[in-house]
Amino acid sequence: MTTKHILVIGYAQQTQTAQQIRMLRDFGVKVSLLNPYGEEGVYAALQWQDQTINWSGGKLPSSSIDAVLVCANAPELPTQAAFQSQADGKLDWATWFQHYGVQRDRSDTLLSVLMCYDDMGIPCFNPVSKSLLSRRKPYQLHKLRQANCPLPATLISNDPAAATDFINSHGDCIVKPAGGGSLTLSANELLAQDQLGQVTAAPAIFQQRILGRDIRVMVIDGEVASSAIIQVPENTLDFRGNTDYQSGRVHYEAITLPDDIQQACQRAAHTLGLRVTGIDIRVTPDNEYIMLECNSSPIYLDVEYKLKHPITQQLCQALMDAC
Amino acid sequence: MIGLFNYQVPGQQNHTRPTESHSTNQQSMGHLFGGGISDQLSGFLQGLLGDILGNIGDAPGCIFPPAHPPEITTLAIGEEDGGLQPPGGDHNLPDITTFAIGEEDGGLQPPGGDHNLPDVTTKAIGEEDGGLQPPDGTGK
Repeated sequence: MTTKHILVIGYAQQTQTAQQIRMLRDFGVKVSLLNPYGEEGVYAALQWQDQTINWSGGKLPSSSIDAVLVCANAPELPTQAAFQSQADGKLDWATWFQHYGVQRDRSDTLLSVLMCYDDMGIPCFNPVSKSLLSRRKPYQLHKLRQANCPLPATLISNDPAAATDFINSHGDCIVKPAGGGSLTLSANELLAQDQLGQVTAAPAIFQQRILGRDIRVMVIDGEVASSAIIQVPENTLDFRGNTDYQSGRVHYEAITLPDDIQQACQRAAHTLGLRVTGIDIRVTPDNEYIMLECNSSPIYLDVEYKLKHPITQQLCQALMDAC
Repeated sequence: MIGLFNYQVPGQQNHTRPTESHSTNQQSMGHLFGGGISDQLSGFLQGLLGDILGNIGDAPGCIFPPAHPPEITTLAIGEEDGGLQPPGGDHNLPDITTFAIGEEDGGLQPPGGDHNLPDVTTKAIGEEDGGLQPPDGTGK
């Protein structure tokens, strides 16, 4: 039997990535790890000519890769390291732009390589052409709506008047950034505190607040691999902000989703083109399941560890089956 | 703040809005790992991490062996889409404090420069994909 060779794009120090690599090796897979950021500013040597893409002095030709697991992408913008390269920790505009140019070259090239792998028929979990689109949350919502997934009433806007009308129409509402990166807020509180005007800075996602319990669903290659209630206090605005969650003390409870919700999760993954995704759902006291969003690079290890859900095993198996 | 949100900054844990009333969000990780049970948890997880990491760095297929394992203190934090860990933050993150928050789509983007695009003064120079004319911010 030929040894399968899987390329992992990610950081070995990231615990979940480390677990995935270890399990792939336990399965007898040859694993190559490509750090998308480099180590100490040193990047893997790339040679890409015509149809041949080679990493590391010819040691990793595309013809040798059976599948790709994308755990992280190259940063698209200069990171903290760029600032730390200056004695005073500050960058002026021109210098920042030089760092930006370099980082963009790295990022664009890696993304291009990964998209070519996908074009070559190498299975990618996830294809970056899909994950990059799904990360655009307003577009993702559009796709999920097209796929008839149950979603909260939603307004995407940078218009305080429109946001106010939406809140007044829907009662309890939340607001979250269109691009992510910050906790969900209470739109009603912002309105009451006369702070909604700040939304003119950038469009935000306003949604009817769904009161209930948080559920995380993992879908791997079209199958629901795990579904778990995150046991933060009911009606927590954003479970990521819960101190028990942040500190690792949070508990989970396995849940079996109704068939129609499992199918909605499968449709969501399919319409977004994601072979692995973590889907956030709220279930109301009336057992209504509302989908909040899909994550193309989900973190699941805490659930796996505490509920003994073999998510990594299923992911690795799916990768091997796809080869 | 510039807009509505207080985006999480790499290496900093307090990403809540100062005015938020749901104050359970506002403790820093420093408070959470001050000692006692948290330290025991941390020690346990360090051991677990060591087990998980194994000999990854020694494997022949590893293009970039890890310089050193991160300091993992809890299981629940990583970076997910739009997650609370920004891109690039993971490469040297002792900040990965739990298993459940990691990298997801659309982490924080550091300062953008497109907010003050230049006037285009000729028909021949402008901004194309990866164009040669970056925004200079002069407005001229």
